[in-house]
Amino acid sequence: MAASGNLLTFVSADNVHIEVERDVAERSLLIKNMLEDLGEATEDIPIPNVNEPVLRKVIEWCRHHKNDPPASTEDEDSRRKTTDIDEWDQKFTQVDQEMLFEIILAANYLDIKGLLDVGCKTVANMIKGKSPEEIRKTFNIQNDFTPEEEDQIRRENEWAEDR
Amino acid sequence: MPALSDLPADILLHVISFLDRSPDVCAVAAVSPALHSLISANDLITKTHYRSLRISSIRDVTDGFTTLLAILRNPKLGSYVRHIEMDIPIRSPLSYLPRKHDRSLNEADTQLLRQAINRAGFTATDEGRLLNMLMQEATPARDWLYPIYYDSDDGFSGKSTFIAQAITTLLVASSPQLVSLAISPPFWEYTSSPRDDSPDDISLLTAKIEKYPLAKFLKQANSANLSRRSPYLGHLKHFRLLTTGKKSDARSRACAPQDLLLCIELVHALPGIQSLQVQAIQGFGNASGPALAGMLPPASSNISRLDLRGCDFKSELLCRVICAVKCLRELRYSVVPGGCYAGFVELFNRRSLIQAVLRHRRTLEVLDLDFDDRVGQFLASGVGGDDRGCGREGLRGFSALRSLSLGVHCLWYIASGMGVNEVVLVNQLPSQLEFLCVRGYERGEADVMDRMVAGVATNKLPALRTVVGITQCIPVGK
Repeated sequence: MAASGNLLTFVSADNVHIEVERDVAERSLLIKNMLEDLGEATEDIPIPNVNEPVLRKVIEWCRHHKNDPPASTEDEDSRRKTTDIDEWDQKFTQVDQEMLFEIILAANYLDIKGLLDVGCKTVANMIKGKSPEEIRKTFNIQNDFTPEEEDQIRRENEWAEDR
Repeated sequence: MPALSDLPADILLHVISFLDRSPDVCAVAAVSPALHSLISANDLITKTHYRSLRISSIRDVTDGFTTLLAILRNPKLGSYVRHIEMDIPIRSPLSYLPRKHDRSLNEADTQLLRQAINRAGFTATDEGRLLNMLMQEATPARDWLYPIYYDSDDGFSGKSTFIAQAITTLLVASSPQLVSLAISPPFWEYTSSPRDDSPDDISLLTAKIEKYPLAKFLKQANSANLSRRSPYLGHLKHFRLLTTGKKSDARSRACAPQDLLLCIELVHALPGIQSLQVQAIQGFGNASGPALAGMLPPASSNISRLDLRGCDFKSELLCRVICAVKCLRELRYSVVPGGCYAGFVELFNRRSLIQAVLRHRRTLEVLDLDFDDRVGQFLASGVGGDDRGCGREGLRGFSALRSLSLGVHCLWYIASGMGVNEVVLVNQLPSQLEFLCVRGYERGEADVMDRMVAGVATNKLPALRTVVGITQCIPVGK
């Protein structure tokens, strides 16, 4: 299936063809730059790192946000202060952890800054206010520290804890 | 299937950058050896700790002094600071009286303080005065030397303001990468200000700033033609006046009188300044008196985003602020309930205000004016655009507009070329508009308004994602 007019065809890593409108696809800077280089896409576009369910989620996000103003890289620092996520995005990120990480990796690969931010903010919100042990439990991480190492890290960081 | 620990380092760093409290970063560092080395290698605990500094309690004043000394001993820490907040309102108009030092410091640290004071532009007697403020503890309870005019339940004495201002001044002057600054009004405002027609008022203006170190420092920096490479304030983008909030004292409760022009002149010419945010202040006095003659001239301000909410200004004052902006991208203005100016044509000339806004129609991306009135009040202030054609094209001229929120009559006044033409909104909304909010519209109340909004919600423009206030009324000022 080749692309026609304003419709492009993505081929996911598991070889599923998905049609997507060009303006939606162009939320991805990787795709946007590629299309600019090619002029017109006449062939299917392989997305080798992303499976169908993840790619569909990513397209869903891009479709909802297709009219967002282009992300400015300038305002990095003021953005950091707020980890609030808009309502639609909050619902969108209510997925299991593996899916969330897959979305983040796909957004990183496809260069979709807004989606990468939403994913990373969601993970940051899952960390906030938790102890190291609670974080390990949340993300299913094994504790590879010896008790002595743990103790040393605690002492090392004591100065910054009280704030 | 990926897990947190499988994410590449750059993504993990991105996640951690959204943690704004250092204890959270400490906790992540204690999760696994890999995360620990990633966080140590990038100095993330220290960076997070110093990213945002806040002085709003007596304990914060003491901590702020410790932080200041740490930064002066190791200037790299100052380069991590992005946001500073100082929320200790002035509670009396009295001047600072130098007195015996509460703190004792070794010679090396005292020297560091002196150097920082000089770098911030304070020399000679000012140097000694500022050093004296820094060497005081913000002792709680009352101090007979500093009676307070407005009582407060947080135990601040009258001198705390000076100590907090002195510390904040040096923190700002030692943070070259500072992006945002939020402070309570840094000078005392008299409820009935000498802001009228007397030429003597100019010297009063200077005096108003002179005794407060932070106000003086900002004013000096603002008029010093700084470059982005300046050791301080070269990167400041956002300035916010903290006028409402947790405090229950009289000065912050309601819409307090405040010298808007003087506040803006603390930052408006800084090289990177973008936004000014002010809430609940009341402008006052005669906005064209001699005391104001040289203030905020047209196209003198680098600020491009104005957020003035819950305020109450004469249109003359508001117009002056809008016209002072070189390139306005965002304007949000709302009137405090019961505001005394917006109800009177003589004090709040709608046509002048709309014309001031129209000057920026090519650059405005967000326009949100939350006040409205009867059509007659708009028409009484004048009909038709000015000689330069400004206003005749209605909304079509707003070529950058993405978000528009107006009272229905105000919308009609602008869209009709100030009361001249019949309006059908769908024909003239800017094509890239994404958000439209019409306040105070009730279907069936007036034919001309019904005809204006007809089809807006259904005949959507390509970019228009949200339309509110057409099917359900959104009251003005809510």
